[in-house]
Amino acid sequence: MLCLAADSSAAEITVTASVDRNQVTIEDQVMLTVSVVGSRSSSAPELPDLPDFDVQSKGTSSRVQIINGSMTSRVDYIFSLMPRRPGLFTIGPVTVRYKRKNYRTEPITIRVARAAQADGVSRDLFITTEVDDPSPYVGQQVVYSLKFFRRVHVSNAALGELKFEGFQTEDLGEEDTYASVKNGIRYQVTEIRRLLYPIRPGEVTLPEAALKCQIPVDRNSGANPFFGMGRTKTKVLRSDPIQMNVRPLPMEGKPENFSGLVGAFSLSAQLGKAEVEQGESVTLTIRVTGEGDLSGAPRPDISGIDQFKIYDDQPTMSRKLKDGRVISEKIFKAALVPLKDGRQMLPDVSLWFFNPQTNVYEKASSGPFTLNVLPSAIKEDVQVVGPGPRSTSKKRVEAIGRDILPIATDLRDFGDEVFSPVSTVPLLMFFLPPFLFAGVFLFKRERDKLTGDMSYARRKAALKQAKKRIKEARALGRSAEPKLFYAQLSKTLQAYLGAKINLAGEARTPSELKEALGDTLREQSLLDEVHSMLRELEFMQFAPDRQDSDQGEALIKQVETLITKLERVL
Amino acid sequence: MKKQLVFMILLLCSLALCQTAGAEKASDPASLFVKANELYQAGDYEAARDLYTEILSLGVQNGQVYYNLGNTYFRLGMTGRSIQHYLLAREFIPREEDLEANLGYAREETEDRLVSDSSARIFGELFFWYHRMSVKEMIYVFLICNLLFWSALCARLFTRRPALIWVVSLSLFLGLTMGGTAAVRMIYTHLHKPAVIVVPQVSVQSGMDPKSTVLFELHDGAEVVIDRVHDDWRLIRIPSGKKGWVRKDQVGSASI
Repeated sequence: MLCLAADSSAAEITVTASVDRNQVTIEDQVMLTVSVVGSRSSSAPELPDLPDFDVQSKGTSSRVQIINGSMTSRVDYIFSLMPRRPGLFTIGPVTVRYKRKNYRTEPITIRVARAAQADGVSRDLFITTEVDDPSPYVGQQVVYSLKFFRRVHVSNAALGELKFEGFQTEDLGEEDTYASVKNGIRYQVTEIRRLLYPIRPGEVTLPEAALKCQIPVDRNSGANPFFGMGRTKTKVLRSDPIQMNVRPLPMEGKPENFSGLVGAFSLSAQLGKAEVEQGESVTLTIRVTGEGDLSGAPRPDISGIDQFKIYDDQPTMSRKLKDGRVISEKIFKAALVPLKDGRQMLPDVSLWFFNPQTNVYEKASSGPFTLNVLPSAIKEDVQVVGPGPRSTSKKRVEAIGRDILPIATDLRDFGDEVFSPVSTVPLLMFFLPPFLFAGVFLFKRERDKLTGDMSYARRKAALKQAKKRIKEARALGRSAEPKLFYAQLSKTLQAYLGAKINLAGEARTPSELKEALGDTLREQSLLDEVHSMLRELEFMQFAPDRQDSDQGEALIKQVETLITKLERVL
Repeated sequence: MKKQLVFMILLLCSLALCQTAGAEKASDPASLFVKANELYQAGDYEAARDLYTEILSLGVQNGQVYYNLGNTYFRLGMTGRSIQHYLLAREFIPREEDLEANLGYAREETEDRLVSDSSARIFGELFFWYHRMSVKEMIYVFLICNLLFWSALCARLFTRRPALIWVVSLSLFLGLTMGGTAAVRMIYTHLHKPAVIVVPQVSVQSGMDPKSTVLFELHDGAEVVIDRVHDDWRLIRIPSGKKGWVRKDQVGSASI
């Protein structure tokens, strides 16, 4: 074990980083332990960047030690580091933060050797990957093979995800397990295969594959024979990446009706019958077989098809392994209904494909086919009028391609749709209605009061009525009847007071009015002023002297002033 | 002489108007939109993107512009930006079926297949209008119900027809529902700011330091939620609950 201490020896805690070994192979893992002694409340260790390793946390363990009567706590943080490539690497300082101080460990050097160099003997287990053609054409079928060789028992073998960027992939089913001899050594081999179809030209690298497994610990290593039984260690096996150069299909010689297939194919076709009645159908079966991706293969062209109605059935596809190669077969069936009687000819059924073995476009074809079409027999009962026989099997709509839907172009919906709930219009629409309701509510209440409470209505109307009467009095003041003028003024004041204190009738003496006012009007001087004005107006009604218009206007002003004072208190 | 003078004045005014109209047309969002669409149809996606972006920079927020920008980014191979703008478009045109179709397709093209609004979708299953209406539409329905409610109450002051009770009750119920839903949506978007990873690959770190430990990796188009903003860094969270920091240029906001 290599232990390297932290910088500050006089601090409250001690931080050390250690590895179980510093010389490993690329298949081994290194256990890094960061120990914090003296506290359990420090931060978790912050590892440096380790791009050359896959890091996994394995948890923590903590304990309390009592040494010479003093208690010390210790926390171990355990990480497994799996090297990604051979070489000499440095695990930089690990940082632990405690009480606002950073504690750092010293760097640790790890040497990672290639697996074969590590011990100089043949390897017990390894993986290899290969492709059958490292320079395929776009769309060409490539068989990718991963083999796991072993001659010891392994458990929990788990293959990392295989990524094939730039390829369409297909699984070839279950893995194969068999025995094989390599370099004179017998191994148990498990092989996994994938079909790859490059989708674009250029240089491509298939990344390394990684397989993790557990193998038993060597009993001869000196470990306790009793407690070493059943112990395993983790191994990560890595293959080499594969460089590929995907070539584009040549434009030279490319036919117009090229089917898009890349591989080596053959085609055979046959008609179900040599003779048929007009209106009846005959099945044309086309079989395309070869090494290549047939999943997207279209039905081969059928020339001379104009004199037939054709109804395609759902094609079927199968695949099998032969001598390590993947052979696919696709069967197309179509029902042909002849439109005319007589001897009908189908010159050929053909398919253009690109052959990567010969590097040229080739044509697979079959035919010609001859069909004798007899005139249809006359039916007495029913004349069949219609499109002809239908396929009995339900056709499934196959998706040929996929794309996004087009852009929006309608200008009717174009405009600034930005919206804020606190802008003017929404605020108005929110607050205005309740305010309007409040206004209507108050208005109705007032109206109900006016119609329901007569005394209230009289009080509210008193000032308005008084002003109206004063106006009439002013008009009378300009006439030649002073008695009418004074009578109107007297009536104005009396009616006003009667409305304010809810007295029925208008013909009351000044003293009666003063007495009635006394309960409501507390201000004695104002009460006397009212009484005095009432008496004067009464007297002036019956006084024989004529007064001029100035005196009349002055009297009107006095009455108005008095009413204004009364309006404040009544 | 007088006629000539009047004619000159009218001519000058017309010229001035034409110039103004021309100037307006140059920056008229609708004209830019038409031109951007033409560029898109012609296959000049980068120029179309620039014009759509210019419309947005003029302060015009429009669902169609965001949708078209989403399509443009998709054509440019920038799936993350595409999803970001489809999500922004959904704020304005939530019922647009083409938008949902394209968004679904773009999501299938992502490597991580992370969708950030799954929990909100559950709420949307119960309250179907939650995702079928924009916030603006919900608020306007709420305001119209508010107007109806108070108007019906006013009418009730003068007449006691039973139908008015129904109007009051329904408008109150509908208004509170719409207003509540709009409030929930705005608060949810404010607390869980949706965003999308817009770079091919990003290492999500434990801290705001480029040397911090890498916690996990995300790829273009992964949908996340921004929990916190600090200078140029964003604390993001994925549906499984994992959190970490990324730089602000690595993630695009998907909320208005």
